[in-house]
Amino acid sequence: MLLKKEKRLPFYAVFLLPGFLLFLLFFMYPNLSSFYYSLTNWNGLSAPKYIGFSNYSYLLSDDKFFPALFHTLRYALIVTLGLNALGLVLALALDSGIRFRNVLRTVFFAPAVLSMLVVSYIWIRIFDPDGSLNTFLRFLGLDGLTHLWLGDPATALYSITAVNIWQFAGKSMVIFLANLQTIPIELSEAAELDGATKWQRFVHVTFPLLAPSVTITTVLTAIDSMKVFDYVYAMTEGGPIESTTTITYFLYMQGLKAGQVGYASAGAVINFFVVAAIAIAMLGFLRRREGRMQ
Amino acid sequence: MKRSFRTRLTELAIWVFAAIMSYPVFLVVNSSLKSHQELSLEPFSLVRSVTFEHYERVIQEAKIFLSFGNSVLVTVLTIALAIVLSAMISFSIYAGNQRFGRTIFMIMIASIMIPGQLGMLPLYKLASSLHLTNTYVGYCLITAASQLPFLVFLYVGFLGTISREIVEAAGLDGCSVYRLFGRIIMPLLKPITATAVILLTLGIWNDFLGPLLYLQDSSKQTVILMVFNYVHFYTKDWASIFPLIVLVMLPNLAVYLALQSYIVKGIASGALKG
Repeated sequence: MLLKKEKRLPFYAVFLLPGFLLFLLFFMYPNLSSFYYSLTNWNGLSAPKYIGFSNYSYLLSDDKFFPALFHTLRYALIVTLGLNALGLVLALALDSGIRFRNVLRTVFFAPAVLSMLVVSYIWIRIFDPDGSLNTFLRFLGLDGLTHLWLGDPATALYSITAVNIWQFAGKSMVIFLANLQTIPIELSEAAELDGATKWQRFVHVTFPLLAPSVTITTVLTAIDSMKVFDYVYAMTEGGPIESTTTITYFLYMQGLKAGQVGYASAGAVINFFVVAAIAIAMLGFLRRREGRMQ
Repeated sequence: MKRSFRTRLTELAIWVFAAIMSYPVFLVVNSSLKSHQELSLEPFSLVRSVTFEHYERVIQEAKIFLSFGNSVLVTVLTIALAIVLSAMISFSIYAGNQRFGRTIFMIMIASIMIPGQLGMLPLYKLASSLHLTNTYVGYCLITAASQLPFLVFLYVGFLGTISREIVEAAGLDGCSVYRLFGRIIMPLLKPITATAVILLTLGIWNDFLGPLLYLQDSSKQTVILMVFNYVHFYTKDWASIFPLIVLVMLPNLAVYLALQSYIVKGIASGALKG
């Protein structure tokens, strides 16, 4: 501590208090009060009344909530795998001594600076029954593959994951590229001298050293995609037949549009515990893997 | 150096892929320049006769300039607030009592793990009871508050690499903590602040859910919310929607092309530290 005792109070009052109060009021308080509201029948207008765990038992038989949770988890899993795989492949391709790598990097990263909402509207036009994707398939004579991409419960969620992966592939590529540049070339050269093939060098030398960017891409993508809202609201409004209703969309509709704040809060609390359990398991796994590989 | 067949193959594959990746942007620009007739008869062919008629109409109808002004206002205010407050919190953790600072730090770090949806509903109700919905101030305070944990994490991590000797020397010279913060610490924080500003700008400028909840009033709408309202009004009227989308995309892409290396570096370093 650099300050004399009598100066500490004004120091904290100036530096810590304003920001910390804002954090407590608009971040901590709403999050913690969700636990309380989940035990009430609050409609957001009249005074909340304590009703015990009724909301939770209603949720168990809600035909929208658990499907929404599973849609969100499936969505997050696909996007996380997709962004890791595509980001890695693009980074390796750009790192392999090809020409115009800076131009290509610019092109691949560009979608990541756009708004997810705006991107959604462009993709609606691509996925439309008479959109560019189906038109292209018909042009190739593949009429059998044409589809109501966003209008069929079997494909709608996957179509949205494709948009997400398209938009942020460049972002994970950039993370992998930054990581690749930290790997000393001598390591790979030494392995080459020892007679390792290109594939062996990748599996045993390069990939283990990319563990940090796998961790980062996975954690960042998982966090972002569990919150997915913009794409869903713009492209499908949770449909068809609730097949793309994700957690955030469910909470928005149930809590703010239908005014069942207490009920939706119980959903938010369950979601919190599920996400926390996954986050802890995932971090434990990735840390151990990173430790083992280095 | 002669390039191998393999490299050429990689190049070919990646250019094909680049073309596919750029298609959505091409589609929207190309379509926005077509006349009504061309758009309905040949929606996906290359534009034959370029027309700006839709742009003229959209600029007159949509509240583009107002919305851009609103977006600039809330983005700048929110970032300024978030940066200043989180730098001050981090400095108090760094220069203050160590055990107390660690406690504050742990509270903020633990809250990074909380999914944003948990407090969404109570926060909205709190804001409306404080009459902060539909105000710029409300949006800025709420959005800045949500960014504080991550920013404090970045700043405290960075401050940890600065030797406390500098700070102690400043103390011996009779330099007050306030001057120490303004003259020495803030300038040292510049590189990490640049990273933070890039990440925040991308997030806030493109934010949809925040304005949807807190800036609904059409006179206060941001660019993103303007697009949303406009598309809802002109459902599937692509001739009107595409030019608007192009106009909204342009500043993002222009800033990106101008500051590309900073943005890419900012994303990568922000991620590697995060």
